[in-house]
Amino acid sequence: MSMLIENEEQQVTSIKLSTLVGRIAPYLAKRKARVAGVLAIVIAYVGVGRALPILFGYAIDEGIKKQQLSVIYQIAGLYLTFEVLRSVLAFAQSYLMIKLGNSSLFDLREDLIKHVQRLPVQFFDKHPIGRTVTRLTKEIAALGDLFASVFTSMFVNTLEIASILVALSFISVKLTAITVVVTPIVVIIGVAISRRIRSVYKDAKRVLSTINSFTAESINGMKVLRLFNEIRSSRSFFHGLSGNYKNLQMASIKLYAMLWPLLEGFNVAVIASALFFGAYFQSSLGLTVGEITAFILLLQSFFQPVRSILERYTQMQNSLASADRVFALMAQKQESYQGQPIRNRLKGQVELRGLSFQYSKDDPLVLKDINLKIEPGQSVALVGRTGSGKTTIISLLQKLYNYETGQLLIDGMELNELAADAVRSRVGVVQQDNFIFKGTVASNIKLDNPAVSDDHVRRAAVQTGCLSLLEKRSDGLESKIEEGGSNLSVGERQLIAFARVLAFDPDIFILDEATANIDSESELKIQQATEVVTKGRTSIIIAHRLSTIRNCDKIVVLSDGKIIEAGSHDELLQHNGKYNDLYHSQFEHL
Amino acid sequence: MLDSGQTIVAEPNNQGVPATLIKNPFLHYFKKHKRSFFAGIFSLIGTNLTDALPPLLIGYSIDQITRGESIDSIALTLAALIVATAFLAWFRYLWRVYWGRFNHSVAEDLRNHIYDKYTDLGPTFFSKTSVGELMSLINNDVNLFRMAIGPGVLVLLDSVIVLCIIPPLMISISPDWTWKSLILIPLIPFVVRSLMTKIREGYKKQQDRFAELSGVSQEIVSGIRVIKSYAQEDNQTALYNKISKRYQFSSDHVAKLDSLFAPTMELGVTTGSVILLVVGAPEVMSGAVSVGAFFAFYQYIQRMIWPMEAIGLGVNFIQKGRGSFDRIRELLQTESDVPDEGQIPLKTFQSLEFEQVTFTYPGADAPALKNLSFQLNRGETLGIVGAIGSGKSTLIELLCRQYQISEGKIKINGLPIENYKREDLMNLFSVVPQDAFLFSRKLKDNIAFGDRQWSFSQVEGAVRYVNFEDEVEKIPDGYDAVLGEKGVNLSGGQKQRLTMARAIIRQSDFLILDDSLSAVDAETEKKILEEMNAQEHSSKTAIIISHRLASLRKATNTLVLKNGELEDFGNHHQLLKSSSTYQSLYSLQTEVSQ
Repeated sequence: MSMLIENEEQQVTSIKLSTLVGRIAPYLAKRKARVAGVLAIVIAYVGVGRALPILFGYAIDEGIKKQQLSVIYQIAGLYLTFEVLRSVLAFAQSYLMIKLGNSSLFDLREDLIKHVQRLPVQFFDKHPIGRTVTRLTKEIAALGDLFASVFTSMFVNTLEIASILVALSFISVKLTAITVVVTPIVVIIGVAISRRIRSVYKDAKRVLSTINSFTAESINGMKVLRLFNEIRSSRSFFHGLSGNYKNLQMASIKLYAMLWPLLEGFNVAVIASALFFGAYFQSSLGLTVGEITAFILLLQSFFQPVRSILERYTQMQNSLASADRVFALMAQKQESYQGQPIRNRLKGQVELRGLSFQYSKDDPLVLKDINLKIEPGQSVALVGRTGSGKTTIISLLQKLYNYETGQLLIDGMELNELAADAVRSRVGVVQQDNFIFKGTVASNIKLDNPAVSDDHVRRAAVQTGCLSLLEKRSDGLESKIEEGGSNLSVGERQLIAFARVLAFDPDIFILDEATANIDSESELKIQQATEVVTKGRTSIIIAHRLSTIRNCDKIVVLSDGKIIEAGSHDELLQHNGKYNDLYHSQFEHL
Repeated sequence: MLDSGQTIVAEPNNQGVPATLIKNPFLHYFKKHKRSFFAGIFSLIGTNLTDALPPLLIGYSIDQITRGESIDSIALTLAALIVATAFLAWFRYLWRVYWGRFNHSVAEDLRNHIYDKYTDLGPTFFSKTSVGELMSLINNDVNLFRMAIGPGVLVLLDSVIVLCIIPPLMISISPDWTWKSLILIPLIPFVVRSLMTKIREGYKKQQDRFAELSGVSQEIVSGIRVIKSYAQEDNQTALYNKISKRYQFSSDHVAKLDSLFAPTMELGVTTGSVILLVVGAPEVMSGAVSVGAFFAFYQYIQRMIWPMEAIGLGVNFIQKGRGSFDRIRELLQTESDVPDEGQIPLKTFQSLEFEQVTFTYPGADAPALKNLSFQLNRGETLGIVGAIGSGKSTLIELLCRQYQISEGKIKINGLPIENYKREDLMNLFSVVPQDAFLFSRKLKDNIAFGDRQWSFSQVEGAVRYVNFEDEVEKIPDGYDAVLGEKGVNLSGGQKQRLTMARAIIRQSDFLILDDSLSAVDAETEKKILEEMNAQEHSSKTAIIISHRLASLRKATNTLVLKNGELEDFGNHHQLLKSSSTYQSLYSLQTEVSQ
């Protein structure tokens, strides 16, 4: 299988921690009081944690050495109190911190779904659905771990390290110096390993992403895979990906497995040197046994947060890769929703003036100097071969693209200056390939919009003949629809799309090759429905079936991005041009 | 696939799922990966043995300092400490690597089984389960099971090993202190278990909510064009938020229980330290036990936190993993709705017979096909017409074994199609399905698709056949353009013609067009049909579903379907006389043309 999904992840921007904090900060800033509360708890938690070994050392010196049993009992009581307090604080800081993260994540998810819905259609042409969905779900969840790691690790652990250093120097500044000297070496080596782990993680994530899109596509295209005996090679391709993923995981495990022993070694080296110097300079330092014990206990807890930071650091790298992608998605340019609103219903006058269009600068012109005026309520058919520019005109009318040369006017208003959502809610479209949501027939007609009443839905369903088609289904409008409308025929899906348009009552109606997928019996139904929909409404119809456009007021024949003929059916037939040819090629067989 | 000059041997590897895996996945994988499993355990024991030494050595050196021993003897103890730690570090490295290899091999194996299973299942299964759920299974559930058999089993083993090493050491210092300071320990696992059950329930709920969230995200992204063209972004966001909120709440709940876990246990264990202070102090004062031994004992109590926590953790991992494996098992045990059990090879085509075939879609009330019988011989072309829902596509789906037939028989060369090897059956047909589904592969790989190899010139030939050669030139990267991904956005008609090319290149004797030219404009359709008629000679058989009677004019016979039943069968002239559906279709289409 030579295909390989090569251009996996074009963007390998690596997000910096500071950038990330900058991204996340606004979400936390919304919750200042809660953040402050959590901070206070963390500080208390860290303080109590340091008090415990000091108490233990104090018990040795003041109780055991001085043979004071009553002191020991007092200390034991205090120790127990601190333990309880520490447990309560440990619970509170962990729970409240994650909760804070969860509510920030909710906001982030909301922002992201809003953002995704505002990306231009071209984005979705270029990016597989599976990948975008992963960003919205798994990768945000990974980002959620980041909330936890950034704060527990970077913040709590840093605080712990600082508090331990303070407690250590409280016992002996000189011995503390040893620790302070060694720590940077550990951190430097640790970070170097962590960085390597990060690059491996990145590769692993990339492979995982390929695994996901490949699997999703296999599931969606299973029928085709089977029909073409492609099952076996898709299996071996998947197994290859799967093995590749495992190998990358192993590479990161090996690096990761070096981190812990490294730290452990340094920890023991520091303890050993503290003991050695403590003994060597015992007379000059004058440390008691209790103090040495407390010192060792504190030292032992010193590398725990360092280790945790480094461990979390790799975990964080992992999440950073997710964060990268989430924010890369977030950074995708939205299409503009700026522009003037449309306040009243449109009359429905559409005018194209000297309109030329190309999809991008390097592409050839797909529309060349189009001039066309459609009066309110008129119906116009666009006819022409594939690639003649029909679909482009429709896309422009939906404001899926902005044009640069010429003008496109609706009711005399320049389309480029109107808000995209305003235009789209006035322009109803039945597409070639109508997406059907999981839910019911009714929810698909009203698109979960509470503003569309049940009555509207029913009427729309009756008028399009959608309801009579559904009568076979026991629950009528409430019939369940599977994911992707898989339990509906193409015709049924199309009729639902028709009902959708009617329910939303747009001012301009666009029919994009809709009748093409429908058999003649339903076509009659659709034709009737089309008459209802087009009545009193400006309509633009693309159809290869000349029967559908016979009743149109005007027929526009497009070829290679230019209008070559325009007029009524009879006029064009008499003109004996391209339309005449098309007309005969369609029906000469009968 | 495209002939790359080298033969790619794709192993069939469809030996199915081993029974032992279904029965006990843990045992199955322990056996399967014995080597890394046992090497991992061995390294783990080594780790724990060397890990028990530092407290003893540190305690001993504290005593040496207290007694004022020479710096040399203290240095010797400290050197021993460093050597022990070096071994410890080595063992730690080893177990991580062995154990990692073990559990990631498990995940790999399981992923492959799941994918293979997906490719074994038919549309009946896929219509019942959302893509989101299936993705979650191969991702999250595999990972959770890996966590169970990897880290989960590991921490349990680890806690057993620690329990075998630390308590004896404690007893060697003082049996009396040991039982007194550890008296609360046995309670911990009970507390943990009840907490764990709650965590597990909470977690399951969170998983379900996550699946819902994935589902709604999938719908929004897939349906983005509809959402945009109706400016429904805000409504969809509201819908999304509702589910997102529920996920958040379930996550909070899990966080609460999870956060409760560690502090509860630490509290239980470190209470032992308090007891030690009270119980041990008098003996240290009297000199019966040294301060160093007291220190070591204190450290060992701290070490007891881990096994207690580990038991809970391990149980947690394993419970989560079991839940996940239950879902995986359910999938792996799903019988294929379209089993491939045929043994007979199928090389040539002579005849196709439908014998009283009745078929009802799973879950549907009314049959989609009723008592359908007809025959098609080699070299004939069969047209099929009928309204939406009359059973046209169903007929094709049954013939291609997308569903299992319950009543009646479909026979090829006189034998039921189930008897043939499915791959042979698929090789016999070239199907152009109704939905133009293409893959995110290169354009040329979408045409040179399937198990056989084709040269590039054959690909070009197929592209010419469907009148696509001019358009290919216009696409950046041409034949090498990746579809769907690199912004190669094909129109519906273009996609259909490519699916047509994908079928044509196979040069099978049996062509099936399931309303395949509907999105192609009339002119292109005409060209394609002419091409087809010019090339196909009497040895070629075809089934053409169309609603344009013009497309069927070359058909030997046409089958008229109505509500799943055969209304009529015959050639154009016969049908014009006898079939009312055909008549009305004809009059509709001719009326239009006048």
